[in-house]
Amino acid sequence: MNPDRISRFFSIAGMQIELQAPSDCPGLLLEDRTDPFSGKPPRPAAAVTVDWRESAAPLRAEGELVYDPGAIWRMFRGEGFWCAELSYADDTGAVGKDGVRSLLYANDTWDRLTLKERRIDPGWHGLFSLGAGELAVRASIVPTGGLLLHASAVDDNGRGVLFSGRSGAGKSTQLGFWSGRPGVVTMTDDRAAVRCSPEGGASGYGTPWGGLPGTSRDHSAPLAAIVMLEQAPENRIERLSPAAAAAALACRAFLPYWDRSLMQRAFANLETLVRTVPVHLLRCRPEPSVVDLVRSVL
Amino acid sequence: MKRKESFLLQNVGGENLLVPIGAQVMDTSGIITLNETAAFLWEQLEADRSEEELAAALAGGFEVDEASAAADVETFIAELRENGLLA
Repeated sequence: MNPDRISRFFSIAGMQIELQAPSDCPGLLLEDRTDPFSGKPPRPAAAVTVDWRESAAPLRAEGELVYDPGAIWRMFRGEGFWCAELSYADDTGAVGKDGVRSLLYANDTWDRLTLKERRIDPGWHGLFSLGAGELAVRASIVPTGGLLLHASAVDDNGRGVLFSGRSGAGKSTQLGFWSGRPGVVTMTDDRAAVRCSPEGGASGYGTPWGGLPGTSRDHSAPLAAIVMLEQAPENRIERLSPAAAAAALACRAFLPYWDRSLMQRAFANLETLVRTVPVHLLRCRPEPSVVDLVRSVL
Repeated sequence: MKRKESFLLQNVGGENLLVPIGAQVMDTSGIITLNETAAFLWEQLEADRSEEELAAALAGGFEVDEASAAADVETFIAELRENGLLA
């Protein structure tokens, strides 16, 4: 390790993520949301290195544009590397919507990354705690058998339950109904990771990228169920077939659309998931009694 | 006619999921599910095929008469064209 550089370790979805930065630079200035994920996992599913580099010049993506989801980032393909361009402003508003905040370079297996950023002003913080870190985990988890899902998650006395659905379906509302009950640990209100084990079964994890800071923690639980949420006038829960579960979850997974081989692996992970973990459709009113209805199928 | 290259068809949990890969994602919306015959026709379109050839392949691969196969192919091709999935 170069003495001029320091490392900070994170445990996210069972992966060890090492963020390296120059010791004379606050390149590790991050939002508080990553604090609960500081440290090393006991048995890492993968070791990912993020080499943080400061750029004095304006950032410009390298390679050919291959994926533009119309969001805050775009993916480019260079000779043997991926380059994600992240463009959104932080709370300081110092960078306009079209300004490039960060470039995230990755190898094909997404375990050797370089994050190039430009410090703007004293209110600056690195995007590892926001879009860059989320994108890194979204991709690097796939080769480990995992997926990142648009879902909230709880550990109900050792039984992990994910709640997924379109925005407004009630993911955060569910978390509120479960929170504070004996033996219940909330894991995330918006971004849950899952990983299937070669020995069978799957685990759910909280990640730092929830909707509200402070609701996520580095916690995992064996998955007992995934619940797809729909608002309805009556409460009803039914188990989905693996085919229906695959179609429903594919729309709620953060998939690597820019890379065919990584997508094939992601779909293989989804196949294992829907054949391993029961997936239910919960049509419900937003009321606490649905906790008992969900528990009835665990 | 041929399908666009920039898609991935994969059976997941018994469901045929068709997803755009790469730049084409910019022009299309999300994940498409295909039934068994549609997935069969999509695979046929890896090579250049006429509607007549597709109908014959469908009639040979599934227990449908040629008239029904031709109608199914016509509908499917129209949907592919409408959604910009043909090369």
